[in-house]
Amino acid sequence: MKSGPLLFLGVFATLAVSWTSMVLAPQLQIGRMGPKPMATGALYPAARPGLAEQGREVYRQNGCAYCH
Amino acid sequence: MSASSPATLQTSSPSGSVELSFATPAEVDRSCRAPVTLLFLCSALWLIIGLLMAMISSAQMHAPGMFANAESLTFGRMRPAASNALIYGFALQAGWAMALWMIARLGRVPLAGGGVIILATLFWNFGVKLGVAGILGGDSTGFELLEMPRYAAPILFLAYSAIGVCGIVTLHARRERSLYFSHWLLFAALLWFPWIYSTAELLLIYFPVRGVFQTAINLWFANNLIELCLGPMGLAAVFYFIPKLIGRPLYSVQVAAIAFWTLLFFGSLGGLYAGLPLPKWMTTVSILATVLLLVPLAAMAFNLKQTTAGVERGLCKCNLPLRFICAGTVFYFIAELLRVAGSLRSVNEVTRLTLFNPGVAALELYGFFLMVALGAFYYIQPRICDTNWASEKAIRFHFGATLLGVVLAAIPLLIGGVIQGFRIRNPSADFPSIARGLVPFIGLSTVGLTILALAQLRFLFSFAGLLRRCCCGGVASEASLKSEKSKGGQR
Repeated sequence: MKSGPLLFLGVFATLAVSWTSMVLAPQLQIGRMGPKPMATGALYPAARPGLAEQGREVYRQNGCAYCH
Repeated sequence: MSASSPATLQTSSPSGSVELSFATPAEVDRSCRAPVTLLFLCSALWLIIGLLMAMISSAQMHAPGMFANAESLTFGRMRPAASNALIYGFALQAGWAMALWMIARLGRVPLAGGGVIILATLFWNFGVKLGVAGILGGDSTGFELLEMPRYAAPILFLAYSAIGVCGIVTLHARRERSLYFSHWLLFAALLWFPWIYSTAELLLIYFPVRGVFQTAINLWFANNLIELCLGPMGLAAVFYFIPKLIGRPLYSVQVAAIAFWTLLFFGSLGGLYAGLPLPKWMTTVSILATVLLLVPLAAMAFNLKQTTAGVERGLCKCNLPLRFICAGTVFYFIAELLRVAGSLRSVNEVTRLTLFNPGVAALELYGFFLMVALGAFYYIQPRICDTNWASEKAIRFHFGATLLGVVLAAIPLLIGGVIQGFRIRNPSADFPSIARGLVPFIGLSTVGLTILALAQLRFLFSFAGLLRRCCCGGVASEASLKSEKSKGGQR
């Protein structure tokens, strides 16, 4: 194979399949879902109250997810 | 490869354009001297820092009280700091050093934009420092392999863009017009990294996507970074050095082409595993793609086997870079086969959230990439510095210690992970006793990482010695290399 542009097109197309199927298509399928009201009238999923939101940030920053 | 052709013989064609003939290897090496040496040096320093942090975080898994009073040194911050330092600090920089040198050598053209690469490398290292310090300081983003805070990401992206562009420009300016297997792999790696990095950063950290989809993108990024950025850079070195050092051409370009396109296609789709809370088609496609990685693996194994058929066994004993590269290749195939096996649903049910996956990752990073990068480095560095290694015994020691370290760091995790998986599946299992039962395996892994860290420290001294001889001792000609020892400490 001597042609640089041909290599570029081939690599681009092959990798674009992955990007389209794993990133773009799911985003179109489930990525734009928002909170919806349930039968009781409350939204699901509900946003976390302030302290729980802070707790989530602490959990994220201190790497708790690696074990828990 | 060692034939010298006239340096810059310029002939003008009737159209008036000037044609340059091939640059000599010495010219190419001279153009690579500063940028590639800087990349290798920085990657070696990050390797040591990353290994020390990995060693501490591994020790903290069986001695949880270690550094528990210091917020920055707790396991939850040490572990991501270690993995980011190793991937972004060591692996990517070593990969680009190899990539730039190979592109220049294969194209028989001097490296383009040496000064830009040096600046970009310094910028990249500043970004990694900022990122790792941010993680230790508590700004971790919580996403696997993307833990560096948002203020570090643009620095990394811009620095890489400069390096990547220089690589592509060198590729475009090649005088030897043929594109080899290593070229294709390096081109794919150079193109894919900014794509996946920008996608993941934008969709996870800057404009986060909704809920469960974050997991999908995170896993997609992590898989593509390891399999399709680090993997091809390492494989390019394998398929460049093995034929070169044994003096034979690659057996079949067609088989290499099959391996390349299937590796790209299937490798980029993998990463998700069974049981994730994602649409079933996503995990199924991922598992299928990972299993079909057997096709490029078989193609590459066949190609290597045919290329090395009939070569005397003793070659690996004498040629030290070849020894590193061969060991790395073997580890690559073992790690990939384990990865394929681990993705099958029946196996994945046992190994899913156990030590098995860190074990495979350790095999890939230390066994494959570190070994191949070291082999390439031991070949490249003396040539771009025009100075030889002081002690062959030190290199042999380095190989032995690294091999021992890799085996101890990875194999216990793999075995422990499988045992852990089987024990956890028992409904009447007592979780604390399972965790205590893993201590010997994790302990062995810590010992392995310690041996690795010490071996690389010793190696850094050899590297520093070479650089000192290169900078202070002046450029030694090929003929005077033999009398170097008699010159002693002459400056």
